[in-house]
Amino acid sequence: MKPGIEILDACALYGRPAAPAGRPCLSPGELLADMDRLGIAECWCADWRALENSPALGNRLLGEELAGHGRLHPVWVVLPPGTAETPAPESLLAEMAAAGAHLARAEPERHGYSPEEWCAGPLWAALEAGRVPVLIDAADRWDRLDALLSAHPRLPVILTGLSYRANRALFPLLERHVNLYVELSGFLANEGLREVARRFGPGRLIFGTDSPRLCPEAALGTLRFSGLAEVEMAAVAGGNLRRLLAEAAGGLRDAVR
Amino acid sequence: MTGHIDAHGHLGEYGPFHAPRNSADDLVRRMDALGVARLVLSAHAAFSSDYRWGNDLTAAAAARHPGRLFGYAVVNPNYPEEASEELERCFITGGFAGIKLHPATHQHRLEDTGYQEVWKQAERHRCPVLVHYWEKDPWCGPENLRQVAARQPGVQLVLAHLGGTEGFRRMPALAREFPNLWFDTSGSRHPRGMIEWLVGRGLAGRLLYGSDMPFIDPGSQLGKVLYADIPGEARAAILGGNARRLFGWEG
Repeated sequence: MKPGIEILDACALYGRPAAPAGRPCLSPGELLADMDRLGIAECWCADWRALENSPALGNRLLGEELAGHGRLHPVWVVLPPGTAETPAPESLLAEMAAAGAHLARAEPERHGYSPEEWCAGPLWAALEAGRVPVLIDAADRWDRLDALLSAHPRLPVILTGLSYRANRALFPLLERHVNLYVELSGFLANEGLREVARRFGPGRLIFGTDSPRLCPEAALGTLRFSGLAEVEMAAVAGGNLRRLLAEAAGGLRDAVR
Repeated sequence: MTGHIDAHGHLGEYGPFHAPRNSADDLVRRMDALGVARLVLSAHAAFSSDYRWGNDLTAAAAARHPGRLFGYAVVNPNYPEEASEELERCFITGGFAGIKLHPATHQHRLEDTGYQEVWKQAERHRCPVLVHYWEKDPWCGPENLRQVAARQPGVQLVLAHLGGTEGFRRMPALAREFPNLWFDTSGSRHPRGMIEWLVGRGLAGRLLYGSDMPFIDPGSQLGKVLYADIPGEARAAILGGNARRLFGWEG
């Protein structure tokens, strides 16, 4: 990677999954060792305990374990409010701000809820009010994503879990929604970064590794060999995420007030 | 010859999804950017609807970029009576370095009779056979493979994709059991630590860099090997040394 380009990993997982999913990162030190070896400055990670067991408990444990490691940042796994398992929409932003979590992660498929308005609308509205970016697993549910993005045009949605087969649905979705971003680890379409940057601008791409589910080295190769100009590469590597998180910091401050 | 060797590529349009910049010229341009000296490929068309047409496209690409692009000949096991003539045609035409099989696409088990001519010709021409292999694939999974690898010890078999997401864990045992097996590293969902795990279990001499381009962006696939936490000699072997040995391109 060119010197001076700051790389930020928007999408990693911390802890131990139940089923095999790559060599897990079981301590902050292990995450940091990967980051040092690969030249990644900072990392935003969600916790397997939050994904597989309890979002509320997992988010709290993650915050405790990452405390004191300034290059590691918690991503909060969120649920819709119907069952009151996580903070209610009216207090969600304050609690996220207090925990230093400026990025959320939603996995409707895994957690058995509908991302549609009748179920998750209040959750999306709360995040939208704070301009808090939310990582959402694509899972090929294009119609539902289109509905969510239409209903919440100021909510930054970062699609993860894409594949090399996504272009035919992804491109029209990017065309329709300026609040849609692509986390690049799974998006392996041939020359995909160049194609998205050319059609929609490099501001729509976010670097992430999805480690340990995916080799972080692969994401680095996707970026390094993307053929993007240096200024575009810098935006994708970290500039775009910094911008979204700065907006979220402001949004969270305003919402908490 | 310096530069990496990419043992798994394709060419041309593909029906199920958009695979842009897929011409022979596009591939060579990208190879230049990535430091890849040679790519062995099969046209998408060759394992889709019309394998003869696909093999013609492959041959044309190899002829357009001699010394850079090489072909895998493809036949359809559902039409076994045509296989002998088609494979001979490919090897007479030139530009082909191996044979590619896709049992899942053709819905024909690897051990079944439709591939008999493939094994004969692979031995005759002393060329490797690249097989789409997946851990839970009923057409070409571990049990199908075991039958063929044992029955065809004179054929060098290359398993594509390391068996999928977690399928790589079976590879050291397969490698010990069958000395005629090789493994290409292409795959879109390989997890953290996979390359290190395989090299740590003695497979550095049996792994071949493969990109699956233009199905998959080759930058990601090259990064997986280039930035892996492995010794330099292992990296050099995976990125080219092993393929030079397998394809007889040493010296």
